[in-house]
Formats: sequence, C-alpha cells, structure tokens
Amino acid sequence: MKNSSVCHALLKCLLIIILNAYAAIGLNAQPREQAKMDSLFRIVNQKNDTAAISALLQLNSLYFFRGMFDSAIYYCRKGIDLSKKKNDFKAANLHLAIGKSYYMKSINDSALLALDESRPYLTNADDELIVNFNSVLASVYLDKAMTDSAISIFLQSIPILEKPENKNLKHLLFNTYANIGNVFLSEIRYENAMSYYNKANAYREYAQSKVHVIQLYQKKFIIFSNTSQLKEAEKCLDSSLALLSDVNNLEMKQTIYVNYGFLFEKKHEYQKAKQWYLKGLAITDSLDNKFYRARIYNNLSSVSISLKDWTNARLYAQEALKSAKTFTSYIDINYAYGNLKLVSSNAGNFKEALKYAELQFQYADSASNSESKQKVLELEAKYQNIKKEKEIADLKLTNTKKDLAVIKKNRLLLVGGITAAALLLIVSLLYRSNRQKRIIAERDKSLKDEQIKFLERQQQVVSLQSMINGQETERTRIAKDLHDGLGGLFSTIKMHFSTLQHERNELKEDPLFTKSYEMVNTASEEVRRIAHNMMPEVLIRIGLIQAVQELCNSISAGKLLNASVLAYGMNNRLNSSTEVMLFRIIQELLNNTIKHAKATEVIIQFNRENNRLTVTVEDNGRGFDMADKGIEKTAGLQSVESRVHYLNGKLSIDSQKELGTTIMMDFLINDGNI
Amino acid sequence: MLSVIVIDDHPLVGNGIAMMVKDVSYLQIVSICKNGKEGLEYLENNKPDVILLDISLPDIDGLELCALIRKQNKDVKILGLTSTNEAGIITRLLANGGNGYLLKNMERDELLMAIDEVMNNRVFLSQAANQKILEQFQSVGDAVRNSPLLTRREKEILGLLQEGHTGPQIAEKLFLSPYTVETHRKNLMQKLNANTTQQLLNIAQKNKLL
Repeated sequence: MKNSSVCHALLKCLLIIILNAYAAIGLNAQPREQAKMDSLFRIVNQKNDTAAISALLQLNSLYFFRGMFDSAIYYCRKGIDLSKKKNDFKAANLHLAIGKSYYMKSINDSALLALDESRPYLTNADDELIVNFNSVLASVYLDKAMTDSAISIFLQSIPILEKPENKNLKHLLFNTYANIGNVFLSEIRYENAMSYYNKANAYREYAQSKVHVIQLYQKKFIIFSNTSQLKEAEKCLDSSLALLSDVNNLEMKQTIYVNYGFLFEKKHEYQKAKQWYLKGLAITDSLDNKFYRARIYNNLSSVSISLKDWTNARLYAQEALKSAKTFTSYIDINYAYGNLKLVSSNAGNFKEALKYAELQFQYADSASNSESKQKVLELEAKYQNIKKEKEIADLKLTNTKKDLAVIKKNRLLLVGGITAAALLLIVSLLYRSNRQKRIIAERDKSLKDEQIKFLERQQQVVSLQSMINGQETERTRIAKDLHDGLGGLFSTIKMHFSTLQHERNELKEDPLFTKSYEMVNTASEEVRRIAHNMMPEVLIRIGLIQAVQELCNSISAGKLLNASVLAYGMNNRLNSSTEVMLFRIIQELLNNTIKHAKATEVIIQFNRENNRLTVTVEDNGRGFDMADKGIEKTAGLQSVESRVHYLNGKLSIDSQKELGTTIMMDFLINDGNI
Repeated sequence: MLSVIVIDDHPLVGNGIAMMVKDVSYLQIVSICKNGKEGLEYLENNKPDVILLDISLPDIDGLELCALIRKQNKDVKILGLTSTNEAGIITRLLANGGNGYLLKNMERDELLMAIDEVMNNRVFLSQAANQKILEQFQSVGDAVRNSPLLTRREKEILGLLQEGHTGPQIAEKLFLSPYTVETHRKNLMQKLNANTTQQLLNIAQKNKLL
C-alpha cells in the first residue's frame, strides 16, 4: 500500500510536470532581459502595425513564460485589434496564444473560445501552426478529461508532420508522440503509452530541449517501475542523469533524485534510497516545493522505518505532516500518520499508535475519498463530458429534428393554413357564387318565367292579332276582289246576256240561253254572298251595330230564331279592327246558338258608357251545365274567349239548364286603340 | 235626251251599261269616269241628268261621294250601283242623297226602270235591295213592338232588386259574380235612363216591366 501510494504520488507529480513541460513545447526559450522587452515596447509604439503585431506576439510569449498569463492575453488582444485592421495572418497565432494562456489558467471554456476564433485563420496557415493548434486543443481536451478526443487530435498532427517536406518539424513529431504517450500514461494504459514513448524516443535527437528527453525518460521510468521492470527503470534514470549535466534544470534534477530514491526503495536498498531522497530534498528546499517536500519526507520516513531508525522515522513523518498540512494533502497526511502509527507501535506506545491509526484511517478515508472523489470526479467529468457530448449531440439532433419538425410543422401549418384558408375561401366563394348563382338563377327563372309568360301572352296576342288582322285583312281583300273583280265580271256578263236577250227576242224561247242566263245570275249572287260572308261591306262602311243588325235580320228572316239588337250609347264608331273582332265574336256566339241552343229568341245588347262597353248575348235555349267544362270547347267558346282576352275583355258565361244562356263581355274602350 | 254618266272603276261595267243602253234613243252615256276624282272634275263643268255611282271606288268612298255631289247639285239624280245588297249601305246611300239603288247584276229593263223612276222624282230600290230593307224594318218593327226589351237576366235582377235584395245577395241567389250582377244593373239603368236603383225601379214599374 505504501509503495503504491508513493507511486501514485509520483505519477501525480509527474503528470503536472508533463503538462508544464508541454506548455513549453513549441516555444523557444526566451531571454528574459528587460532590454529585450523595452525594445519590443518601442516597436509596438511605432506606427508599423505588422512589426507591432510581431512585437506583441513576442511580448505575449515572454509574459507567458513568466507565468503572467493575463498580461500575455492582454498583449495578444492588442495584437488582434491591430491584425483586424491589416487582416494579418498572425491573427491565428495571436488567438492560439490566448487559448494557450487560458489553458494555463485552467479557464478551458475561454481557451476553447479563443481556439475557435483562431480556427478561421487556419485554412491558409502553415503546418507548424496547425500542429501547434492541435497541441493546445488536445491539451484542453485532456484537461477536461476528454482523453479520447485529445488523442485523436494529437494523432491528426502525425500525418502532417510525417510529410517529407516537413523535415524541419521533426521536433514537433517528437513532442506529439511524447504527448500521446503522456495521455495514455494518464489513463494508466502503460503498453500504449510505452509504444508512443518509444516512437518519441526515436526522434529524441530532434527535441528542442534535453529537458524534454529527460522528461521522456522519466515517463518511461514510471512505467517500468510500476510494472516492476526495475533494470529498465534504472536505465532510464541513468540516461536522464547523463543528460542532466547539459541542462542544469533543478526541477528535473530533483525529480531524478527522488525517482532514484524510489527505485532503490523498491530494490530494498534503503540506505541508497535515503541518500537519493535527501539529495532530492536539498533541491526541493531550494525550490520551496511543499508538495515534493511532504512527499519526500514521507518517503524518508518509510525508508527510516525500513531501516528501523525510529527516531528519524518519527521526525520525517512529523515534517511530512507539517508540510502536507500547509496545503492539506490528505494522501500525504494519511501517509504521515501511517508512518507515525508504525513508529509508535514499534515504541510500544499503543495508545499513541491507536490515535495515529484512527487519524490515519480518518485521513485515509479523506484521502481515498479525495482521491476516489478525484477519480470519481474525473470519471464523472469524463462521463459528464461524454454524456454532455451525447446530450449535446442528442440535443443538436433533437434541435435539428425539432427545427426540422418545426419547419415541417410550420410548413405544414403554413401549407395547411393556406390550404385551409384557400379551401375555406374557395368553399365560401363557391357557396357564395352558388348561392348567388342560385338566387340569380331563381331570379332569372322567375324573370324568365315571367318573360316567357309575357312573351307567350304577347306571342298569343301578336299571333292572334296577326292571325286575326291577317285573316280579316285577307278576308277584306278577298271580299273586295270578289265584289269588284269577279262580281263586276259576272255583272258585265249578265249585262251582256241582258242586252243580247233584248236585241234578239227569239233567245227568250231558247232554253239553253235562259239556262245560261240563270246560271250567270246565280253565280253572280253566289259571289256576292261569299264576299258578304267574307267581310260584310256594311261593317267596314257603316259600322258594327248595322252589321250586327243585318246579321240578325238575315237570321230572323229564317223564322226559326228571332234575333234582336239593342244598342245603348253606341253612336260613335269603334276602332275598325275592334268592330271586326266584336262582329266575329257575335257571329260565333250566334252560330253556337243556332247550332246547339235550340233557342227561339236571342238578344244582342250593347251598352256603352264613356269608355266602358258591355256586350250581352242572351238566348232562351236549353242552356248547359256550367260544371261541364267540356261544353266550352265543344261550344266553340274557345275562340270567343281568346278574342275577348285579346280585347282585354272580361267574359262571363252564365247558363241555366232549359232557361237559356247569358254571355256577358266587358271591355274598356281606349279611344283610338279599341 | 237624258245625259247619263257612269262613275265606276271597273271598265267592263261601264262598257256593259253603255252597251245595254246604246239603242235607247232618249238616253246617252256621256261619260264613264274611272274614279271619284274624275267624276267630280266632270261634274264641275257638266250637268248630267243621271249619275250611275259605284259606291266602291278606289280613291273615295262612294257613299261620301254621293253626299258631296248632292251638296253641289240638288237636281241630278243619283243611282247607287253596287255589287252588295246590304240594307245598311242602302239606307246610308239614300240618307246621303241617293235617289235609288241598283245592284250591278241588274237587267236592262231594271236599269231603264230605275232611270225612269228617279227622273220622275221617285226613289228606286232594286228588288233584292228592297227585300233587305223590308227585312230590317220587320226586325226593327218587332223590336219596337217589344220595347223596351229586357233580357231574361235583367228581368230577374230587376225583380230581386224590387224585393229589396242587394247586389251581392242577388249574385249569390243567381250563382253569378257580384261584378256581373253590377254590370247587369248598370246596363238596366242605362237602358231605362235611371240614375239610381230607386229611379230604376220606378221607371220599371211605370213601364209595366215588373
């Protein structure tokens, strides 16, 4: 347990050294002269931006090596401000330097930010800068316990550095291999670490500083010592010691001495071990390294115990305890109490031993706790990192998905919304247009119906009018032609016959002649009759009442039916076409009476008062059943009805069975029109 | 010697008449006019004894022309000449100053008789026309005999009005529309020259129509 704990302590210690050493990688050892800095400040104050940037970069480097990282960052910022104006390629270096400084300050997030800012300038950067960038980035990852990422970043630099044209960068190849080994070492993956250390070892002659080679040997020593390859471990220390004369580095010397002590302690050569620890302690005291002091004192104490030098063992342990307590290193306190407990129990002071044991356990707990806590923390950090990365990835994925979904949703919503709106619009438009169409259609229909009715009526009227007018005109024309033409011709023939008979008396005895004479006379009278029936001349020349009177006269002459005309207020003639129409109506009604009524009396009565005309036709015939509508048609009342309607008249048929029929027609006379 | 003119648009008729009277020593057809205008122009300068006037002329109504001629010349004898024998036309012709009336399909003797008659200041009507006139007077005579003639419906309505029924009540009783009853009543009042229903009933009573 003691050995392992010491081993751990060394590892821890070495790990810090690795990182410190790493920070120096790629940077030249700078002279610390104030003169140099003054000259740099002068350059900065001159108005040459390019030179100023270079100077600022150098200043950053100087402050960086002094551990004054804030100042280093400050000068970098100034440089960046200048480089922005010039769009200088050194911007990448400046950002990288800031990242490095933040890394040193363990402000890893700011470091990563600075590195990200430098990334855009890397596209045209040279290979050296890219490798340096990778180194810083990998270091940050390592600090954040993202070892795999760190390794992969480091590995990216390898092919760049192995390019034939990069022969001048072999030192970086050494550094990179060494750093990969360091990462594996931190992960206690000795085999992997050793293989990379060996690769680095192959380039050790290119290393910029012997310190780096010594460090390499130290790492190898840790691996060999922890895998109990003590001979190989001693070789490493010997090689380191051989190089130490060239470098004059006290920290390295201290580390080598302590590691010799550790080696000899492992080989159970306690006296030699004590010698090396004391040599190391001397250097440590000059460097005032509390951590090393506590550790070395503890190691000296345990060696003293092994040598049964109880007095020194107690003293060393108390020193270790004192040093450890100044920086509360639980492990070292624990070790110290462990050693004190052993010393006390050896002295027979079991009460004291018990107290130390209790304290040891207490601190062991704390130590293991703190260690395990640290482990856990590291693990947790790793886990959290992985988890976070996963979460970030998941989140990114989810976000992307969400974004996509949102976009999709939005698009869907938009499309849906538009579609819905469009549909709604279309539907409403359709509905409206439909409704309007329907309304219009209905309106149209009713309008059309009305129009149709109107047209029908008009057509009826017009057709009736034209029919009647045409008919009457035709009748009038035919009647006139018959009278004047044929009638005149027959008259002349008859005159000729008459003259002939007068001139030749013997013809009176000629039956053929007399027969011909009679026939011509008959033909002449027939023509007159036809013409009269066609259109009574009296109706045209004299008027309706006279025409109706004459009609009644000829009916009454038959002695079967006595037809009489009564006219009141009929002194003025009506419109000729109305008279013809009324005459036809009366003719038709009288025809009906003669044909169907078997009446003996018929009265045709005209009553006119102002513009109101009533025509009554009444017979004393057998009448008909008013309910029997068929009678109207058979009675030929239809033409009467249509003619009455044509004259805008009102027809009233009133028939009583075996009493007679009274037909009354009412007209409104518009002077001139009717 | 009697001078005679014919106003007839039918040339055959004029020629026929001329032919019929060519051997009559006391008659001379002095002119045959084709229309009313020609006839009037001739009459401005000449005074024939007899005018044979066709009442159907193309330019003027023969009945009107008859009245026109009569206005200008009180002595000329006008004989109507038509192909129709309608009483209304005949009476109108006589009313317009015509002295007689002949149908175109007359015989030679009828024509000569007509001229003789009118020249002796008598009215002549051709036989067919004469019968028509008689028919009319027969009918008119019958009418006068029965006057004032009421229709059956008018008598019924008058009776119901006498009984004190209103128009609508009568309409209901007679299965008529009130409008028809009202028309009958109005006709009655016009026929009997009454202004009110009471007046109508009084007149009806007086004339023994009820």
